[in-house]
Amino acid sequence: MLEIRGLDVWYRHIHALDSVDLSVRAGEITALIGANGAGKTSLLNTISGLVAPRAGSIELEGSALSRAPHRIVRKGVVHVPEGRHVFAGLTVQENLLMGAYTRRKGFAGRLQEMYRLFPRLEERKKQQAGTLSGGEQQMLAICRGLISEPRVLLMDEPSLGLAPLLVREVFELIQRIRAMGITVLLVEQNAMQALAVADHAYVLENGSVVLSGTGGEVLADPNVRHAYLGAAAD
Amino acid sequence: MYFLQQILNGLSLGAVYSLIAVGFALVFNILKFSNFSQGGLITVCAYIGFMITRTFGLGLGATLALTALAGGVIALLVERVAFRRLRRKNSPLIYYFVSSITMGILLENLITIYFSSNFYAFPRFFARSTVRFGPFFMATTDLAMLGISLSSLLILMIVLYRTTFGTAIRALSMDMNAARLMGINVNFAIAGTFFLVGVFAGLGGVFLGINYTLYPQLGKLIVKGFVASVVGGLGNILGAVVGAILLGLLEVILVGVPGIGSGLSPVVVFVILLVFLIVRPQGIAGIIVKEKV
Ligand SMILES: Nc1ncnc2c1ncn2[C@@H]1O[C@H](COP(=O)(O)OP(=O)(O)OP(=O)(O)O)[C@@H](O)[C@H]1O
Ligand SMILES: [Mg+2]
Repeated sequence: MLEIRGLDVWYRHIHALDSVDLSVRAGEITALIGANGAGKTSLLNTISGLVAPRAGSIELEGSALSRAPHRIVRKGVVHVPEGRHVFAGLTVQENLLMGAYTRRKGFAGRLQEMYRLFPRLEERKKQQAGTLSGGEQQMLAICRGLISEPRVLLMDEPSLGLAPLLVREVFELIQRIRAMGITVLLVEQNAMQALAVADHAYVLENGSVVLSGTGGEVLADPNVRHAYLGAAAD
Repeated sequence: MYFLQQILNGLSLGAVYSLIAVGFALVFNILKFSNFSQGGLITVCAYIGFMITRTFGLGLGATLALTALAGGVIALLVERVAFRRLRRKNSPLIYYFVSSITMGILLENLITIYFSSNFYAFPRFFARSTVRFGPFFMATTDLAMLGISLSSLLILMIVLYRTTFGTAIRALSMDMNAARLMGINVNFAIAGTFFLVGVFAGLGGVFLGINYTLYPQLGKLIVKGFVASVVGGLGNILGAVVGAILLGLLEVILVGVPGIGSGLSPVVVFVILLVFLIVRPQGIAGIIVKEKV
């Protein structure tokens, strides 16, 4: 679905991504794990057009993906950013309207679907998003991404800062999103849970892919167990 | 009785200031700097309005409409020339500020070249110069100014708060990158905002030209709009309108106060501006929503 080849990203003299190759297969959850500063967010930002790569290619179903964020969204590649970034001064419903900016036809119906998914958001639809709790903001951020019915959803640390119960709910939701037929590229610090739901996984270190395989394979790797899951390498 | 009469006058003055203040607020909202090129833009618009009436002999309504359109187009050009490159290069805000002042001076000098520093006056638009409400009188142009300003502000509010494009402009002002991720074409939305700013500069320019005759430095009156937008809270549209109305009322009332008069009233206004900048930089506006991290 998404083919990334030789992607190189620099911020002035910081080399954030070093010829990264990565494929995301249709209908799967692909997990991307790695330490802080490994370059995970940089990769998602490059796919969604916020950051321009110095070299490399990104293809969506065989054709080069545009570099302009608004065209990328229209192609069905939608990015739910790290740290939620809901529009604090807009109401919950206006936030969802912005999520549907490129697909306004049928908005009312999809809005109801989102509210069915998260009744809490419907109760607060006229409330400013900045006044929601952290968990509610995360749900809103995900719904805002889903409401345009994307083909590929890029999710950056959706479980960040959530209580354990809510973390479980988020991972259940991610599996439900896959069941809806949406391809997911999931960046996570919660390596254990991410790898448990992932079909394929990549490990990023200092801007390079150091390991890839099925979720199970990566989960079984002794170095991964040591570095990300806190288990002793044996 | 005299006092109520002054309030009517202050309201119509404030309404014109609010056209300028809203222009500041709109740009500050999305790009976070005070756009002083608006002064030049307003001057150019005043002269365009003047040329339109003189050449075609049009009435006030048609003059305003055409000038607003011209203002919108010029504002689009200003954004293109002065600010778009800065945005592409992620330049610091100070560059925008400098660029906007330069642009303002450039526009003002263009006017000086073409019209020299002569004074011109708009023709009279209305046969009857005053309208009477019971014991009160109001200049017909003041009344038109009040009515047209308030209704165009109302339309702006409807655009910003009731349309998807307006909501996108507000979203953009809160988080530009997140707006990009929604599929909002940020360049287009910013251009649209500048068009609106130009429309308001067009209306404001014609009204200022009618009120004060035309001269190339007419645009310095935008300081009033700037004061109003600071008082209202930078970037707060409704606050800017309220600030402008208050400023208009205050000026008219101060002129009538013994010991202050028309000489000292601008001084008092600037003291108020300073006090606001020091004590309450967020303006008179109420709640400011803080984003949870
Ligand atoms: N806008 C930027 N300007 C300069 N350097 C940046 C910028 N964004 C990221 N970096 C640097 O690039 C590197 C990769 O950052 P990135 O945000 O992609 O990491 P990450 O894997 O998402 O980390 P985390 O898990 O902490 O979110 C870091 O060294 C970071 O400091
Ligand atoms: Mg990150």
